[in-house]
Amino acid sequence: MFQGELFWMVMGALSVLIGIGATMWAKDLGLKMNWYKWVLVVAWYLLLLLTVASPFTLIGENEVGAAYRIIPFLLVPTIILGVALWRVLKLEPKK
Amino acid sequence: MEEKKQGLSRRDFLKTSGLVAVAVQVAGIGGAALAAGKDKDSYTGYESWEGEQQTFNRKKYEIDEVPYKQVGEVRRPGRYTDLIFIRAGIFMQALANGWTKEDGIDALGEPLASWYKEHPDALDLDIERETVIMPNAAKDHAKYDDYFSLADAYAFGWEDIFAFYPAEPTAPPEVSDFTITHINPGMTYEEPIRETPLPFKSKDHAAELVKKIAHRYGATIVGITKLNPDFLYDAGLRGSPDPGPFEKPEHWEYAIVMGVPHEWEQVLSNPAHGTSYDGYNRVRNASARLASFLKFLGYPSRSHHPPFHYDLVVPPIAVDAGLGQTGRHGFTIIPETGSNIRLACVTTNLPMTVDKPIDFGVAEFCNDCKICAEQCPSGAISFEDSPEGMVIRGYEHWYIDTAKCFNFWQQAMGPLGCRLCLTVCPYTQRSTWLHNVAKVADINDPTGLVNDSLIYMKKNLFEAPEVTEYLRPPDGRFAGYREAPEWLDVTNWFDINPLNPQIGG
Repeated sequence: MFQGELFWMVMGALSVLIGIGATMWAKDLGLKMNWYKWVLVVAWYLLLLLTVASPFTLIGENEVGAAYRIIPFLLVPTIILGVALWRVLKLEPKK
Repeated sequence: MEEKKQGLSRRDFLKTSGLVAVAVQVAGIGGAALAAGKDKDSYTGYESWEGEQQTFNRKKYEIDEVPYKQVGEVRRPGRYTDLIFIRAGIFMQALANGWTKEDGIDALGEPLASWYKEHPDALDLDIERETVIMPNAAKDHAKYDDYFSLADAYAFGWEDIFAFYPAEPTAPPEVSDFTITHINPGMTYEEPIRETPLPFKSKDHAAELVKKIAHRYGATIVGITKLNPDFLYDAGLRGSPDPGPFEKPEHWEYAIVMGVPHEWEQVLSNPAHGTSYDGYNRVRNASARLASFLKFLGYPSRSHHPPFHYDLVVPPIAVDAGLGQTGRHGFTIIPETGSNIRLACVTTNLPMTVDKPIDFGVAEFCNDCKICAEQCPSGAISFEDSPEGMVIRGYEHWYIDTAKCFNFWQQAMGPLGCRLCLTVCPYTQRSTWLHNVAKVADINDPTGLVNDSLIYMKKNLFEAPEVTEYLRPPDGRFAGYREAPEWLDVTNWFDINPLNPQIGG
């Protein structure tokens, strides 16, 4: 179910939906987005996916203890960077 | 206002879809990660016979000089002394003949006497093994063998064939490397199969074909180097009627080194439930077949393979051939499977393009890591911060106390051996995206930060038994680094109720 071409095609289609939704959210929230802000958003989202994927891979490897212990390692920086990103997104571009 | 009256607007629908898509994608990535962790394809080593498993781009990390230093006068390894299996056999015979420590070291005769004078600690350890450890082990086997019987039987299935294939040389290399001895007389060639070797188009063609064939015979990794005679044993050339010293046969110009890993589920259950013989058997077959292949083409060849059918020590030759680097524990660490690799080698005069040695940061990693030393139940591995000042036979090299190591082998339950150091090595990881990302990040990080982070995570995130737990009861419980895989758990398959020392308590 979670492997193969069809799965990754669905993941790709979801990415398109996420992209469309994100641009609309940004506009409705009054965020003045530019290219580097979008790069930061994508980078943070990839970090979030990494934070989810790492412990699940370790569970798959039967390293359940390591999976639980790695969560704070990844989750704390992800939350801190998320808060920092939100503040950056709210910055007004210089005129 | 009109849109609101009609319910969800198109814009709100897309915004909501975006949020739902995030949730589904995050869940999907979690599921994919779980599947990746369970995926048997990550048990790298045997998935292809065409070389795809040798995935690491070695070209990028090639160096012109070997990544180890000669610091003194080179002495070739002593077959009857440094090689613990042979030394243990000779020493056991001396004890059986009535030798005691009171008789003095000289009474052991040469070469043991001189060697023990240089290594007095080894003498005490060898005595302890024969007089204390082995009698204790006999009692432990009587008590616990049922529990480990499935692992023992599985290992035996791999092990027993080495008595038959390949046939050991019955003549010196000048004869036996040109002919083929087989247990089936119909397949024995007492004369060279070809009078003149089949000429290759170039050295590149020869190297490429040899590697392709080695992979097809089962080798996971293959490299080629010029043979450094420093790594030949000092005496006892196989097939020679003279057990004394020998010089490098002229036709041993090149060494083709190959490796195969142990099975990944089993290797994690070392020391008790693992075996050396799966890797030994697979790599021995590949090496022996390659030697026969080359002989058939007219090139004299000899296979040097596990468990003890060598005229040379393979790990440094594997380093010369660019397969990896030597770790703190003395094993060759290769990029693809870490320390989980068993090596064999074919010596020949077939001219081939050789590979360069590589440096992918193992020396720096091992200086900091020390996990193998911390986990070694015999205390055989050095805790020093660097190998500087340690010299083995003229080369700077981490000191390994083979007598301590071998003594633990004798007390461990399950198939003979320990292999714990190769199991716990942080480089020994399956080929999942998580470990591959970590490996690539570490190898390419010049600051050492990734190196330190990975060592910290390995030590603090991953559980490991206390080092005493690997010992025999009452101090320990014959622990494995991880539990045995379900297919090696005797209670899953047999109608017996064995005494399980691993429960402890």
